[in-house]
Amino acid sequence: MTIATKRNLRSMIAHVCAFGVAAFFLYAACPKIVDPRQFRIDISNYKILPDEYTNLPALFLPWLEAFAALALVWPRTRRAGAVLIAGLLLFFIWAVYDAAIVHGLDISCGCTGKDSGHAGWTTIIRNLVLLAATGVSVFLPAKSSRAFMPVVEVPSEIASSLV
Amino acid sequence: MLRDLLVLLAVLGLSGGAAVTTNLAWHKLPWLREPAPVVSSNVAISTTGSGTTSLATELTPEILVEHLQNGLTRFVDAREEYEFAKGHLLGAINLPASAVYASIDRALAVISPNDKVIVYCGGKTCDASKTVSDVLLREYGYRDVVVYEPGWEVIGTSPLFKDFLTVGE
Repeated sequence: MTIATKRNLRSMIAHVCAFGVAAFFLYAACPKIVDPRQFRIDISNYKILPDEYTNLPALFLPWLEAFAALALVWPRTRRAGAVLIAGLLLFFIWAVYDAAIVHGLDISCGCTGKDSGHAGWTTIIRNLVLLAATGVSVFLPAKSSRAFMPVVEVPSEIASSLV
Repeated sequence: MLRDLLVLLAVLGLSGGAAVTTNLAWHKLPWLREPAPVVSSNVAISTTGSGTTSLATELTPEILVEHLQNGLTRFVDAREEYEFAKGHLLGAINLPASAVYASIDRALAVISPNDKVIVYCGGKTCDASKTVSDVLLREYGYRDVVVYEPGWEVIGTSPLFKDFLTVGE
């Protein structure tokens, strides 16, 4: 396998990961954008916020998920999108762990709107996979460009003739 | 780095703007929820067999059976649809907490705001019954909604309820 092929492969894997994570986040955000009242209930079940304040994240978080997903798709904004997506995923992992594992609450995860399934280890593992894919989408191309970009010293006379 | 920071701020700003716009134009949710109203629900049916008003303050399995026998109380099962399909109280309406707004028409069609409603879910560890009860009381004008906290854990196993169950496959 040539260096160029390896670089293309890494770049393709990074794109696939970014598109995969973005697609999941857009799929998850749509039903919550359409019905924030139901999402409010899911947030309320986690018992992280006082009930009075649950409407605010129910209205804001789905849009953040959607725009962060769009930022992840476009290579020029991917790093910022990845930071936001990773932040959201880490927060969701902590919330599920705290509510379902530590406090033993039997609640719907609320990840993808209706029929999200119960919050628990499955949710945590899925979020960890998404987190890993987000990392791959950002770090894999950068690593490949450092690892496979040969450093060639060009003689000054040749360099000046190229300019 | 600066571009990443600007993109990050732009995404946050766009999300906030979209949330505000859609809420003002479409959802019209209050930004802050009002505290839950204090509702004094009488858990017992109006009179006992001897003609005296029951003084019970806790909804016990025996009182629940009285409600099932009198035929006036409405029951709401707040568990998921697949759990409801496996078994539920006779005549109970399934209003899963994970899709309460999508399923609310089922309740609105047969329960009037003046009816006594008893909501149950899987057991003491689930909050679904409290969630559904809260929605019925706050957002749909029901006045007498009570949660049966022991839920399906007791209903599904106690011999008291064997004549009042529908058991699926």
